[in-house]
Amino acid sequence: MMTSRKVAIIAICLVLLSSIMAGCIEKETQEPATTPLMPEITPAAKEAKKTLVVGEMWSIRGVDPAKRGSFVKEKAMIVDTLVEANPDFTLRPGLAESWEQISDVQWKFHLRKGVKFHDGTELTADTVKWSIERALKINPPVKAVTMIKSIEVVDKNTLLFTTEEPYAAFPASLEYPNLGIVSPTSGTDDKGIIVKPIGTGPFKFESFDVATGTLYLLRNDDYWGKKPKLEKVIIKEIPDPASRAMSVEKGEVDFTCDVPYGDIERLKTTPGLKVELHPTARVYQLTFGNLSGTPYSDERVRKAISYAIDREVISERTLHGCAEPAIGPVIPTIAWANKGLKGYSYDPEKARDLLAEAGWRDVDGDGVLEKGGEEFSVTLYTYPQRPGLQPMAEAIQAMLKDVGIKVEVRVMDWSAIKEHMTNKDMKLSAYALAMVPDPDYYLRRTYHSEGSYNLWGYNNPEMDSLLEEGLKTFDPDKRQEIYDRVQEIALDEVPLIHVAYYKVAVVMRDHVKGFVFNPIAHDYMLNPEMYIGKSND
Amino acid sequence: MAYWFKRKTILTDKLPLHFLKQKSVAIGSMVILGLAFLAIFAPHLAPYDPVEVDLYNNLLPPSWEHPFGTDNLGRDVLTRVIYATKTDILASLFIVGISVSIGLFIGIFAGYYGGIIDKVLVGMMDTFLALPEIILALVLVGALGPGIFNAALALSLFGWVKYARVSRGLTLSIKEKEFIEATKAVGFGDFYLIARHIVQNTVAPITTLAALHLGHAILSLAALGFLGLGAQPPMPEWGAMLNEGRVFLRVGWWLSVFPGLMIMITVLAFNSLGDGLRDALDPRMKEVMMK
Amino acid sequence: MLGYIAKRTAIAVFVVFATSALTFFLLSLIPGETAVTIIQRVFVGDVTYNPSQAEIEATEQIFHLGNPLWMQYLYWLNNALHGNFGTSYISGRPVLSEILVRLPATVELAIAATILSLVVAVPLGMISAVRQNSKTDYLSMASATFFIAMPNFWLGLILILLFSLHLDLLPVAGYGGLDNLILPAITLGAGMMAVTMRLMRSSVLEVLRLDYITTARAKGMDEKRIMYRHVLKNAMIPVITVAGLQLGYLLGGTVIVETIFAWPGIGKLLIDSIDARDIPIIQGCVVFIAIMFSLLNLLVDLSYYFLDPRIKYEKV
Repeated sequence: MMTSRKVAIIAICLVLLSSIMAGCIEKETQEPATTPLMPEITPAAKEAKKTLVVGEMWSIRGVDPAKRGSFVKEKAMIVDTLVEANPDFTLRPGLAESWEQISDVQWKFHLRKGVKFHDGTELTADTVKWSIERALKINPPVKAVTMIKSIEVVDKNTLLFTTEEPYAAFPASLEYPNLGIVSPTSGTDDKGIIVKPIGTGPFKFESFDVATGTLYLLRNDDYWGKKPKLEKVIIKEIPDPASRAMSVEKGEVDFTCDVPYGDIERLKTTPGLKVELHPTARVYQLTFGNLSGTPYSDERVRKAISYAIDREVISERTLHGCAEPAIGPVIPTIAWANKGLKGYSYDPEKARDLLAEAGWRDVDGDGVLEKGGEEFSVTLYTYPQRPGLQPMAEAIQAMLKDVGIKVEVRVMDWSAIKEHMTNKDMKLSAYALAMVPDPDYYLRRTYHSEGSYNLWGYNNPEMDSLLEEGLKTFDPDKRQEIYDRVQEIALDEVPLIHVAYYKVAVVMRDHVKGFVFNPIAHDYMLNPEMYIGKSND
Repeated sequence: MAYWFKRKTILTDKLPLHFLKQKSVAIGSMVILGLAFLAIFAPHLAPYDPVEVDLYNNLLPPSWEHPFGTDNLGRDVLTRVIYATKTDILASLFIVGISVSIGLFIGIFAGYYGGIIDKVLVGMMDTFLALPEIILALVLVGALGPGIFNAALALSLFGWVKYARVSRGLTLSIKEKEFIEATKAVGFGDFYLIARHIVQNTVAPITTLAALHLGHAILSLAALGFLGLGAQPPMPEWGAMLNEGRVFLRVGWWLSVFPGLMIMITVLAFNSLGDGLRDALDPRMKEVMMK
Repeated sequence: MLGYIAKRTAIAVFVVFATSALTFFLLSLIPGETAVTIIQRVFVGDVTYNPSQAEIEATEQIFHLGNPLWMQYLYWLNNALHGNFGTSYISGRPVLSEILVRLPATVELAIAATILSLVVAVPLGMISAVRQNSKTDYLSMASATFFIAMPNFWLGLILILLFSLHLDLLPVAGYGGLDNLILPAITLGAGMMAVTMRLMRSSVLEVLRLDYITTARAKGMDEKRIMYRHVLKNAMIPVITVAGLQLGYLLGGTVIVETIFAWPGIGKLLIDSIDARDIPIIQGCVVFIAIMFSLLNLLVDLSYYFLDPRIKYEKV
């Protein structure tokens, strides 16, 4: 007698069968993507030729340039900073036309003349001073990054900055996105947070719909730089990577980035789309809990771990091309990178030899090395925000197992890691090392014995003196020499291991032209030269 | 000793044979036995190692070598699904076990002492029912940190209420009975007596609730895993596997289909068992509760 | 009658307060120095940034983090009673407005799912009961069993796989028009539909057996009238009773469904804020959900009261 449960079980089998069949069919047919639908949802449908719709990867939680700098400056293009940076990390004038150093701690900046804010008011030294002081006040890290002690208005177009100590990276620090110059006439809420930013950038703030996380921007016809070709830009928040991929495929957005790894190969071959993978200044690094009293105090052990990692397969297969094997600490396209460095190849044999040299042997034959009765068994911590970290951690776990190091992977929130991690453990992070486009920013914080990022106690007097010198050396050639040597030592002594450079996948419809990738960006940066042209098919 | 023996016969006594003959229950039980077999003998049954990666062979579709395909790190999905059986079933047994223990105890405690203690405990029960279990569990796991142990703990801390209700109800109803007075006279601790009596007589409804709870626990556990708050990689767990597979939905449908199917089959099996138990014991439950 | 309402309301209010305290306590267990997290997340936007002691102290001042726990709860409670649920660590916006802005989306989804499930479950359940043991009965009961055991997140993924990716009929995710609503509503409503269908069937079966139905038939009343007048109304009673339980699954389910479909509702807000450790928002969301749930349960209790006259005469 057919009970309903029996029917249910038969139904499951049918589902199983049909899903397997569906999968087979899926594999065989290469479905062409649907033709791009003109977005009917957005009001800009009619002006599609002049409107760029962007799918943003983070939740758009605000538009205050001092708090949401990387969004407001780099993506929304509403504000400019005094100093801008080129894709190779050299500096170029922004709102400041030129600057000169007066003394060790004093700098004079000359503002561009005739620049107007979006509401027509003039950009003056007073407004710049107001804007920067506001950022210093409401965003404490800004002070640490710029080391500004005081700002003085010399005349309508000139400012005098005094830093706390001699700081060669000062001009570069003014490129920091949270220092976007905004007008005091900007609309604020009752807590003083800016909700209607008025800047000087190529695009003006029109409105922001909190519910759907959509920002509407209009072209600034009085932009001081090259006038943008686009009339409107709409930035929609789509924090879910799969939705972003679908949106750009269906034409609901024209431009997005960081789509799921599983979609990249497919999107590359989809007609109507172009996919660009760009290395950024963000690097995947493996750091150690502490360099004293742990296996990592021996340089050979650190080198061994570096040799044990197959950076190629991780970058190409595990992360689907969204990473590039790291050579030195910074991507070689940066102006001040040491171009003569040779990275660590994948050499598990060498790794095993080095470990053996350092006294690690597998005494009991269980596949795990021991030394002095202690097993080489550690925990690798990482956090969930970047999709590449987890698979990379698991891959590294497998590779280290291969050379005799037992690794347990634990994924948890960044702040929780501090509570759990011991000196013996390792951490994998995706670190943005060019918040400020200057070698001092990353290299000193990381490699100086008192560097704020040097949490593992690396101490090399030669390194320290080099970095201190670099801080106050103003001659560019001398600086390059110093930092070349710094990077050389860094690679040789590997107090932390650089696994791969983070590559951002930028996906756009092929009618989007004029995009220039700038690795300075936190994730990606739109540029005013973009426009909508003819589709390639 | 005699007590335990007696307890067993009450259950088998009240369980008519036709219950076992019901086809759905039979199939359900067999499936459960099959799953238990998988869980226990996983290392021998699974073709590969569940955490061994094969980075060059990632995202392979189902084939003879890999009947369920491989995931992004080249791990065999069939193996992981089999090992996940162990994870999920053990974890849900833990959840239900703890819930039953806490629930029984609190229920008896509340019913026995009555008064303020009862009111407070009932208030607590109502509060825990004020929110969908998963939301409370989410917050707790969010606070403690993700991990299968924390997830299981969270679910057991919020899953005891229904058992408490049953045991409290029964406690209240028998508290007045005369034989309690009688045994008090003889000198036995009446709390112990009541507890024993409650446990004996609630075996039927509790077992039913527990069977259904097992299915529900697996769903909740997998849900937490799916949201990234349950089992952490590389531990194989069905919900976590679905979460990993979600990213590759387009290029690796096998990552999402098979773990989900297993969840459904398992839950169906436990539900069949639970429904069958309920149908069989229901008319008899009233009798039992009267005693 | 007033006593009944008053009592239920009092319980509801108490429960909401208790929930807020419970959540507050649970959230305080979150390890990690919150000031550091705020600096990294809110100010710098980079979790790897290492702030200085001065920065930490300044931040602690801004967010009142130095006080003991019970004091913090009282501050929170006092503010909440005045309508101020705090400010999001991430967006800097008032928690209440973040929640209210997303409320319509969740309500829309919940209503759609409920309507969908009722529209399918009630008639099917009734037909199954009336045509007991027929093919229709077995098929509906089989699918009900199916859907109860099916994890809703799996259903969502399968639906996306089939209808969005394979057949290209519906959008994958997002909020917008009717076609964005279909898949999420089905995913959310499926479990509810299954339970309601089974319940409806058994409840109708019970009612059909009752004496007064037989009497009505004997009197020669039209079968259809019997169905609609007596059977339906009385069969719905247990369904509505269970509605309270259903709401729990519904609210819990929105968390998952909204995440899968990137639906900008409260469920997604809760998950995002848990991931981001945005404590004021988590607190606000949970309390808000508790309020909604208690309110709805209260309504269910009250409607039950009106539907079933027997309650009026019972000592509550």
